Amino acid sequence: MTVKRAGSTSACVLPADRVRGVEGLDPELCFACRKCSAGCPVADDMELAPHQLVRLVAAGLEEEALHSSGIWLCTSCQTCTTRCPNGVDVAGVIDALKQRAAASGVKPADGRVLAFYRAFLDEVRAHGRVHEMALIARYSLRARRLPGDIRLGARMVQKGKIPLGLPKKVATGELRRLFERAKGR
Amino acid sequence: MTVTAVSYYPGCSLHGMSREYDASTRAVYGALGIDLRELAGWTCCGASAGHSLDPALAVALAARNLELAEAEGDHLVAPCAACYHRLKVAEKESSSRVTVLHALDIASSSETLDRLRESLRRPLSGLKVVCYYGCLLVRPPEVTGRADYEDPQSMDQVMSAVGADVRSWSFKTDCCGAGLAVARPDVVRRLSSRLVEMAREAGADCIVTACPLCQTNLDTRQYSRGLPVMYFTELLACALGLEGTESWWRRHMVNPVPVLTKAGVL
Repeated sequence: MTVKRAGSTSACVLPADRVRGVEGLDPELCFACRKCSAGCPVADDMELAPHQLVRLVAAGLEEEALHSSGIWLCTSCQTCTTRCPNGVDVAGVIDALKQRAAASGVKPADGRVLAFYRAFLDEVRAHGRVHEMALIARYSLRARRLPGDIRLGARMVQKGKIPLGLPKKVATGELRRLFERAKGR
Repeated sequence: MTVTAVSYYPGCSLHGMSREYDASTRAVYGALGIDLRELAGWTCCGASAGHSLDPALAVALAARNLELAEAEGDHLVAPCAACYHRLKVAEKESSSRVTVLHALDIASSSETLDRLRESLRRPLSGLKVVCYYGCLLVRPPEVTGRADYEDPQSMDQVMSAVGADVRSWSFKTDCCGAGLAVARPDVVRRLSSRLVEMAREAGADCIVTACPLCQTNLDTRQYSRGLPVMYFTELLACALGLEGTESWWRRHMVNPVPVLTKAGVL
């Protein structure tokens, strides 16, 4: 089995790549109908809504889009991509922005979601599978704060929803190589 | 399709916070004569973190599991909508000959629907439900291959087959907030609470889900508490009269037992 492309949202394969130049994302096809932002569950919380992010990228101003911390609120629900009349992969554009921002060290004004994603991949790399308790501990360290809803977490532990056992490792050697290949690209 | 044995990818949540989804899935499919064979050595699909941070990991973490599944057969079934979606993207982006299915795809095939009707012990006729599909099970159609992505029907069909009173509502595929629960619980609470209120307005006694993230977000983030959120497999187990459901209900934040008892399901 071979992987044809790095991914449908393969944005930052080479430093010279621009988000707008990535196959399949097609931000330049946007005619600003705003259907993406109308269906977006978090558009009201973003300082730049999805259609504005796409317009910035299409105009070659992706630097501004990269620094917009609203990109980290995207839940990847795919409503924007699904409803775009011109086939722009809006969620893919936002993924590409997040990937570029993370790779180039852009610090979002609110770093909680980025810290969570980093903690999540740390846990995948360390154990092969994600264990909720270990993930929460990693997140707390990376974000330098406790999860937002610590009392709910305590109740979930009490109910046995969050197991307390020590995580076992699965295929971690193979995953380490996989992560290194991704990093070295 | 007629399936008797299929490779099974439980995903991290079904080994952790959503063990009742794993247990009920195994129980129901076992009772229907479908042998779920857990894929040995499976690893995390990467979820939102993978595709948000790295274009290569976005595919490679999930593709690794497809490679394992190739040795086992033609299909890989996942009960988690998020895993299903990442595996489906990997299927599209690789030369894998494995077809990824969601657990609901098997349950809603015409053969399984017939089998459910034949094996029905306790019809859910007193139970008013809304089916909540969420995002990643259905969108985008280029990945999921579904035609009815704005108004999906498969869970409605399954619940109707076992006699539930399926209510219509417009929020089947609105987002619950997904993986933002730890970092941005404020956003998840707003999105999930709205869904719960809309389910109440539709006259539902409970919400039926097919994803551990959807179930957990809806079950734990309600402003006004009290609407149970169940997995479709838990309700199928009730309808089939299967034993051992008690331990599942204890793991829910909103206890489903009063609603199920009142509806004559338990």
